[in-house]
Amino acid sequence: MSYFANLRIAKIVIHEIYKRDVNGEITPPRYNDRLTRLDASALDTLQARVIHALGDDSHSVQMDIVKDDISSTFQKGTTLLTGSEAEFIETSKQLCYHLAECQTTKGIPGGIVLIFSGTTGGQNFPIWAIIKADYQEGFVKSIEEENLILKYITDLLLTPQQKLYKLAVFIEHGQSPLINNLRSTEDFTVYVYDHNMTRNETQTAAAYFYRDFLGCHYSPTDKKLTQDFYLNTKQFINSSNLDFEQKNELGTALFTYLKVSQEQIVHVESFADEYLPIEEKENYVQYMEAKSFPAHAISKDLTYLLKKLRQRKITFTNNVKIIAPAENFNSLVDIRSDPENDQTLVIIKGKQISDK
Amino acid sequence: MTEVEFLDAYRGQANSLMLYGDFVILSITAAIEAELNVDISKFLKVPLQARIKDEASLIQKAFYRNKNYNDPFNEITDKIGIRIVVLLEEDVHAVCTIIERLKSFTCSKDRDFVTERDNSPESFRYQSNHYILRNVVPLEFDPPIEPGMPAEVQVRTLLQHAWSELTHDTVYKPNTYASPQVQRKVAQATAMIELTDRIFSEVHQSVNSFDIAFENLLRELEQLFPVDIKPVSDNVVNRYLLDTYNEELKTFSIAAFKHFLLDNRFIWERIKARSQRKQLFNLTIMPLMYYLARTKRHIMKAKWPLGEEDLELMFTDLGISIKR
Repeated sequence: MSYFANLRIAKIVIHEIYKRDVNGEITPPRYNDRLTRLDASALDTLQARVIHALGDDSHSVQMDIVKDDISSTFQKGTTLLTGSEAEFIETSKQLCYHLAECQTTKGIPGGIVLIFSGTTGGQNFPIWAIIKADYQEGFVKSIEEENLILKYITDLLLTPQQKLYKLAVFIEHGQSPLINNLRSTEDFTVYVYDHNMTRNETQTAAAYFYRDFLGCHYSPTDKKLTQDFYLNTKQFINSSNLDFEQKNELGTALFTYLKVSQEQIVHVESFADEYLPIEEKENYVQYMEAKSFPAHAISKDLTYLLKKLRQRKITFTNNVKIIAPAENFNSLVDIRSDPENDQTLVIIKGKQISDK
Repeated sequence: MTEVEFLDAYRGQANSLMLYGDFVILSITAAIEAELNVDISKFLKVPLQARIKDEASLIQKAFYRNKNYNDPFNEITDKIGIRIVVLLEEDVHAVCTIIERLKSFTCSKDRDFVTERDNSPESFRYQSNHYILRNVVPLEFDPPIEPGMPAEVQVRTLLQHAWSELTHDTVYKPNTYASPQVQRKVAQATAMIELTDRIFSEVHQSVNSFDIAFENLLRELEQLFPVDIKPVSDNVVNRYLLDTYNEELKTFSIAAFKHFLLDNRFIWERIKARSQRKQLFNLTIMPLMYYLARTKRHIMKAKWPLGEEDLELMFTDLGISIKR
């Protein structure tokens, strides 16, 4: 079952942080001394935002916790789960200040920091989460002298526009004994969503949040998972009921998705949406689920696949094989099935140069 | 009896005849409601009304249409007429059976369209069941109605009714002659109506079999609800949603569904909390919708016929990101 089913938000507190000043110094955050209470609909919306960003099918990435010393975000965060209301607020202020510290460049905007604790999953695992929400511009309607007018506002928050918030959730699923009074990272799973992480060109912009502030790193298992994605998807394509041409096209699509695309994540749902015919989507997603492949995003790491993605190897029933560069495969070789005559027509757009 | 004497007698009886007509109607509708368990105002497609034969056509029938009555005043059986119009042929049969069993009347079948059809299968003619009902005990109206007062009751389908509305005066009671072309067209219409009535019945039967399957499923779902949540089954949206995902539910296994509910017990709490603010979540079908959202989320999303925000609530509860 999904980690994110049955998400329940219990305590919420918000603080405000600011851009660095002209001298590059931290402007002290504006802290709240009280928990924030939301009515049921507002809570529904907040939950929906969190699930949109982190839940199954989302682009969130599971990360590894590397910084776990006493002053780390991870260790501080664990106390949010057990302490009193006052301690919760105090810890949240420290986390907020730490985030302000990590926002080292002047280009990073201020915004609202929302920290909450609660539970998630069928087994009600304790969780805590932090959301950094940038301000957006927008309009609200109001009525003045019976006329409808638009008011321009610059402090809209947490709209469905996901580019404008980052969030991380720490899920506690174990209670191993303390070592030097510190919690073990083994007890927690972290998911992070930051739009910047999903694109190659914004990787640097993402680092201050997931690396400097959260103390996390991409999981080394991403290499393995990226490879699993490739192999399982390939297997699905080959075992599907699609015809030869479609299978071939999907082979090319898989290559494009992994090798050419600037997307920095690997994501079952996105691949299905982008390339699979509607009637195969559900089958593919279920197939990957059955292979225990995560429904959330994986950071793309092609280390194990470099060789595979360089060449494509097509095998025919009579043991004839064609090996060709995977890049621009379709413009190098034209393969057409001729099922009536039980054969395949291959046009190689080049001249033979050797015969070993 | 002269025409004048005849009319005097008729006028003297008119008030009691009206009351007698109402009495017949009440007896029939009470029996229909009791035996068929239907809402009579929906079951009857034309409001029931006793109709007293108008004087002109009564005189015409008694004296001018070569019917050879010895005692036209008592022999004419349709001084009071009642038409019962229902949707389907099977409804006609049900009503006929009820009329034949009425205890306060003796009953004779004047016309039986099934028998008529069987007797002359090659022709397409006026189709209706006609009964003559006669009261068994005297009725204390002013003047009283003695036992044996005839009232004509016709039972038809809505299509047969439409047909006879069209042809009543022009073809079957003609003093003017109907042209062969008109008769031919009427015969065609009659044939078509017979066929259409049959198709109506078939449609009704197939819908009905789906209804039964649907009702069974609702009963089964109701059983699964915990005691502190009261599922709402009598809301058409249940049916609408089930109909939407009809295709996906063809391979539905109640065992897998129960397993899902065991694994996701929190759904009941969510349903309970959400139903405080949204009626949709009260519906008996909702746990099944959660199940579909978990197991077939693409199709669920693509076909969802209600507001996106409701679907989003379900997806959020299940931890699935609905948009990216």
